[in-house]
Amino acid sequence: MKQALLFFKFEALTFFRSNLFRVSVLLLLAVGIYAIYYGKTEMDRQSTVLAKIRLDETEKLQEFQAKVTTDTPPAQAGMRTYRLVGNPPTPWASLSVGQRDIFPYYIFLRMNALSSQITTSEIANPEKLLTGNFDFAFVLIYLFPLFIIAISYNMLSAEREGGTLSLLLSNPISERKISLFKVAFRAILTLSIALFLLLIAIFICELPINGTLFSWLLSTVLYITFWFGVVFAINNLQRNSAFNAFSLLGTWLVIVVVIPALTNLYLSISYASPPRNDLTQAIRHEYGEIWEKYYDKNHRYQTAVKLGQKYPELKSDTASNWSDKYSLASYDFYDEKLLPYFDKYTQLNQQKSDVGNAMSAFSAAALTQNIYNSLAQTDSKRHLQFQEEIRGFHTELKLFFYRYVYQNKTFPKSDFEKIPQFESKQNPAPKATRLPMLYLALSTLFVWTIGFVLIKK
Amino acid sequence: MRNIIAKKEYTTLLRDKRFKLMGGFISVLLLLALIGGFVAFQSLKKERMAAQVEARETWLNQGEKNPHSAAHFGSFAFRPKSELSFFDFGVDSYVGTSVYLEAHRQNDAKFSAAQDSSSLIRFGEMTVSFVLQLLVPLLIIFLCFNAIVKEKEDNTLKLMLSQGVSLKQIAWGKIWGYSKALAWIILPALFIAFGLMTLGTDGTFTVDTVLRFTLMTFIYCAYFFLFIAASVLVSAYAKTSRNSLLQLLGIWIVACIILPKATANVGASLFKAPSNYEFREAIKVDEENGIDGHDPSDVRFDELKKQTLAKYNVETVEELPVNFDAIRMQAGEQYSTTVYNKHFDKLEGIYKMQNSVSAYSAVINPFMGVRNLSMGLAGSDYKTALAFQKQAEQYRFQMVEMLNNNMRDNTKTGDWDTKAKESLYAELPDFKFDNPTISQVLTQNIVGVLALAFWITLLSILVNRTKNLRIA
Repeated sequence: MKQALLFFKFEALTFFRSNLFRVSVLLLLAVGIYAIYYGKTEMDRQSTVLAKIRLDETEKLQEFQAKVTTDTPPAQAGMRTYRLVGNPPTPWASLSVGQRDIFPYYIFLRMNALSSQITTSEIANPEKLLTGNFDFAFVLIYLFPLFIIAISYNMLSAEREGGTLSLLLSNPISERKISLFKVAFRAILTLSIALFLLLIAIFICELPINGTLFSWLLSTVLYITFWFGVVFAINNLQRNSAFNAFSLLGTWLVIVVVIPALTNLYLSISYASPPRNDLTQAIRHEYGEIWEKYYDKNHRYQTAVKLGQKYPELKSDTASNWSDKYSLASYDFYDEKLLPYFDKYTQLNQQKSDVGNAMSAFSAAALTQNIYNSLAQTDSKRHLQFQEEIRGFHTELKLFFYRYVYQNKTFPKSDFEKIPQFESKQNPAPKATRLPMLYLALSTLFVWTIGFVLIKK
Repeated sequence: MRNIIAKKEYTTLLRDKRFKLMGGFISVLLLLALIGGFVAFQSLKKERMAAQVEARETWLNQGEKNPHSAAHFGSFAFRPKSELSFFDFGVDSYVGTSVYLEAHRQNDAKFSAAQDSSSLIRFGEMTVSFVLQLLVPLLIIFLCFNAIVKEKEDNTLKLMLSQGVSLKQIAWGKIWGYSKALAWIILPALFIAFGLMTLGTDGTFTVDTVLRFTLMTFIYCAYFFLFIAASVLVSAYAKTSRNSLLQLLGIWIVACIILPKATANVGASLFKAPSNYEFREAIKVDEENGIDGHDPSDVRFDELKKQTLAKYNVETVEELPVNFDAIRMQAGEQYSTTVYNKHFDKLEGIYKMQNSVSAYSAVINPFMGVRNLSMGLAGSDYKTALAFQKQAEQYRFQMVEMLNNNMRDNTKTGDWDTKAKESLYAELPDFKFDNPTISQVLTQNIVGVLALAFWITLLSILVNRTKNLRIA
């Protein structure tokens, strides 16, 4: 212990005297703070948009409410009621923006057919999407390993090349211990920087202190430890500094760049995104069908009756308000017919992302990114969940208005308060992080074992 | 003398285990990227072509219906894959693949590949351009970082200089030697790429495609030259090979990883773009109240009615020999398209400003210039996607206008039932997308072209000036 402290003291002295070190620490801190700030502004922008739509939602509804008379048919009230279904960013999304800039995060929904509303896309600058976000996750995943490599590639080789290693070894200390102490010192230093930045993030992004924070911390520590394992192993090969720099950067390249990019290549060959021809054709065709059959009285009657069989509370006498009952019923069956198409593409994407996740096991960087995005709920899994929330809320909104129409009720002004409103509930941290976390721990264990095997006894 | 040095460097490099190992690795990646990119490209190209054909057939065979119903039925425009996009995917994965064309509405392109992917896609896709832009420079750095500094460390430099060779000659010799060795990795890949291009177009490629390919080759050669020259220069000035390696790696990380991301982010922060909701709402407001706010839709309607009645010299719309509903709809279409284009142009302007931060950063970071030029020539950049969106909108307008005019001329006001002949649909030509031409690409990326030229000149001058360098 005493030996370790002595070591740390002198390592610290040499470190802080080095210009390269001071500059790179300052740079890392600056870049880290910028990334946190950037992620925060990006997510704040999305929150502002959501707040704005919420405001519009109320305003528009009030405007409409003022115009409503006793003669306003309930179907019209339903048709003109738009509701915001939003997917607000979690505080963690500021640290790991993930796919949030790609997936739509709100939909302005009404009771009409969902299928013609749900395929929204957010407009964005494609060049920006291509380059990606300079968020804290990027700094941790890409830049921290580079910092680690920069401060440790010549950890032992510099001493050897400077002739001080043999001097050191003449003391009662083994090379194994020297190597471990040096790695430990650098690891503590790097972890402190990461922790410091995370503390700043807690303040800037108002992160709650909970299980998610713990999981984030754990994965960050594991990822950094993983890289020190790599550094430890390569230093223990006892080659010169240039070789170390070369092989460490090579490892970085393979894990952070090549494996994920190759995985993407494989996925784009095996699961190329289909143009969804059948879906788009069906959306159009089935919708046209509704109006084709509009004047077929028997068909109208049958459709309304069928809806009554599907939802007992919508059993109608079909005596009055024919056209509304028909179109509302046909919207419901339209959605029902299209659901298998949507499911098909969801399943295809699910398969694709499952394969991608499995292949991520070979890259600690991809694993860590999975964990971060999963914790921040900015991944495609969360998007699917959001789509389900949209479907659920749409059904609620639909049935609310349908009841008035089918039960031949009027829609009084006072019932505006009863229109369902979507409230996004904060979901607890997903359990999906467990498997990648396990893989990350195993990868870390793996590199450290190699490091210990390679060490000179 | 220069040639002797070049030959020596070339021979030693080819014998070097490092070169064999890393060069082999890069070659394998290049090959994978070529074949993989091509397979993905082929399947997407075929699917989209089939989809476009099917959309056309559905359009032609939709049966007799009222022209306005046909306009609501609409059609689709699929963004075709351009011939060289297997080489560089560009922003292809991040833009929608199809637009639904219908009356009254300018839809967004939907279903981008990125929406179909997990967040893994943000690590980038292994394309040929990815290997050439990111990995080959790294290979160059590893091969050349000790080019001259090693001669210093081994004390062979003084020996060479004492033979009457200038440092400038040595530097150019080394650059030439390394370039020749590198050609062993790049040239085969280029040949395969050319072969695949031939295969992808069934041998029917045009002069345009060949020209694009040639230009792309030039740009990448210039890019590699920059890295080779920079490596040799840094190694000439560095005290130790370790310093030289670290400095070069630092340059690579900043130029290829940090700056591209940072400039894109700064651009997006400086120039705020609206969300889809805000974009659509602004359009709605303008349509309702008029572009200038003084010309609301009901005033426009009355004006149109008055004009039409005056034109045909009648008192009421019922007396009109044409269908006023169709005239009204066409006027509405015209107006909404004007409004939409105004807002779309504004949005385009914002994105252009955002991207200009990256584009201008080419002056200090030639990587950006190469990236944009490569995407542009491959027909997979943002401007190509934009051109698609615009051409699809023009086509949509053409479609709706044709149907409205038919309804106007063949029916009377209030008649929504008369059906048009099926032959009418064929009057709308097939949707055909034209990529921006080479000269357009070059003008759009003029900053990148100039930046590359500037850097080549600058580094050449610096290499020439090494003769003044004092060797301690």
